[in-house]
Amino acid sequence: MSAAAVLQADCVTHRYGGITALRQIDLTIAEREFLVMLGPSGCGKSTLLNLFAGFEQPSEGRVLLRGDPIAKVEPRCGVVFQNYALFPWLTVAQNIAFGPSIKGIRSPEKIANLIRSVGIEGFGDLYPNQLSGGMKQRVALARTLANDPEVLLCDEPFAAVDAMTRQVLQEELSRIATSEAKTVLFITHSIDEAILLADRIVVLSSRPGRVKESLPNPLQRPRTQNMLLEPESRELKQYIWRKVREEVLMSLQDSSRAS
Amino acid sequence: MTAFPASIGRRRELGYGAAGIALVTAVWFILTYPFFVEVTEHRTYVSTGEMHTVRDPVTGEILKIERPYYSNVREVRRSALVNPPALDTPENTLRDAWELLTTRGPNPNLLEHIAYSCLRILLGFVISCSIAIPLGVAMGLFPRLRATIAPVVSFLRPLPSISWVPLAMIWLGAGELQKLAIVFMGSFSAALIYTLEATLKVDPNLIRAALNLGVGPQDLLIRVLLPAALPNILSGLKVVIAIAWTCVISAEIVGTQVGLGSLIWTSKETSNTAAVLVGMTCISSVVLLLDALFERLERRLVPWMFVGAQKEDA
Ligand SMILES: Nc1ncnc2c1ncn2[C@@H]1O[C@H](COP(=O)(O)OP(=O)(O)OP(=O)(O)O)[C@@H](O)[C@H]1O
Ligand SMILES: [Mg+2]
Repeated sequence: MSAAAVLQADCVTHRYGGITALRQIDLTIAEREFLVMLGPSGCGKSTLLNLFAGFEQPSEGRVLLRGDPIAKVEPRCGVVFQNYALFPWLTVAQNIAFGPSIKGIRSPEKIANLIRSVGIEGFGDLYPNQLSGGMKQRVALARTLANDPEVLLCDEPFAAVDAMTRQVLQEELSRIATSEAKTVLFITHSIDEAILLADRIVVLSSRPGRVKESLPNPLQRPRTQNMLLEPESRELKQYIWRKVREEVLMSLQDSSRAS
Repeated sequence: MTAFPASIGRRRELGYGAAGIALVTAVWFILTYPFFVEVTEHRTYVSTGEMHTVRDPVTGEILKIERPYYSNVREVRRSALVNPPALDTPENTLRDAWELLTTRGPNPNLLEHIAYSCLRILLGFVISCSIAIPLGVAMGLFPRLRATIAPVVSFLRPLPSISWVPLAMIWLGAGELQKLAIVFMGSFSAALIYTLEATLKVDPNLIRAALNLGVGPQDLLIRVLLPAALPNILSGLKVVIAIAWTCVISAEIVGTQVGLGSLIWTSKETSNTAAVLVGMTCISSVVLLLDALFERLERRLVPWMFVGAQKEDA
């Protein structure tokens, strides 16, 4: 175990009733690492993320934050949800200020800065259901960042956002993660997104999920969409695609055998 | 492909609505208008006061008798397609409404009828909500409590309010307490179930998000669960108010001279159709008014439910 490990799954098995979602998975995420997790649908990616967030407890093994077991919901691991999970009764600004206000902290300048840095100036007084999907995800990101978590856990945060907005959000997340020195665990189904964002890409096997492949991303930062077209990244993409494809086929076979 | 048009616009909607009401009123007029005229003629003896003398042919006595006079009398009876007591004319109904509104006599005034019914409803509704809402939320939070109470509630729920009348009378007599009890029993289980459902429907992701942002379990109720459940609780309560109305009308069948339910039942006893129609119109109007007031309350309490969704992707 490296000294700089922030998050660690130590031989973790997780079952839902009779279904084993994860079996004896080991994964370590280093300080300031941006780790992107890929894998076929249903392989246990969200399960692992929920264990790190403390939403659930592992059936076997341990999940650790800086060496300490995660025993309950862990505010130091800020989650960005796929379906935003914004509080509909609070305005955009109130949503963002939610975490600090729990601790009794009021810092309007900080909220204003966050609103600016995720690009939603002028929307502070609207309610979430007055916003488009892309806007909502910006608010959700700002709300999580306002709480100053040590780790960001993102479960397909941009999956429901249109392609144009997604590109902008990817760039913003990348910039914020670098400038705020955050450790990030990011789940996606998009290999392009993985290559654009990741320091390291982990491919999980079909259920029960285990680490099939762990690849450092050689691409230089800052990254642009154009870099995806360069031969180096196309090769990487094809390699990852083959690995994911094997597992997707495997999980399809499993499910056709099961039915 | 053209889908069904969503709306015809506010002004047109009002226009068509007015036309609908006018149509029903016109039908009412036509049904009760005395189109048919029935004329009957018959001979009647009419007193003239003119006396004359005749000799009795048997006894030879002189008698003074009134000269008989016969006259043909025409009797005109007008009738409509539907006559009272089946249906009274709009004019008569309006006149009755006015009489009921202005009466100072021993019988209660229309406003008193309305006020009594409203008070019984509001009081019963407030009492039943102030127990049902906390209990419903608690049932949503604690599965053991839910499992204990659910069978009792599912037994109470199918009972129509009118089936509570006999028991309420035996226990509480025929006074105001009995009326309140019927409103309470009729609306309680519905309020409880709507609150429970609203609590169970709260998106678990919101709770996870709140915990993740550092909310302690003790603050979760106030900061997340209640505001998240409030819109559904309120729309449930709107239905409960309507249920409370049916309760109060059942409760007022017996043991009271005042209240809109009592008005329509006693008017029925005297075959006073016009007063029955007045009572029914008042019930409907008050329900509509309460609905409108309730919506204003909702706009105040859950403003975020009334802002337009720009784009919904889920
Ligand atoms: N709450 C739950 N109860 C029962 N089974 C569950 C539950 N959550 C997940 N599972 C099962 O566990 C397995 C892993 O689920 P998980 O959500 O972690 O997959 P995933 O990799 O995130 O998939 P996706 O890419 O589709 O989001 C799936 O087979 C799923 O059916
Ligand atoms: Mg998932």
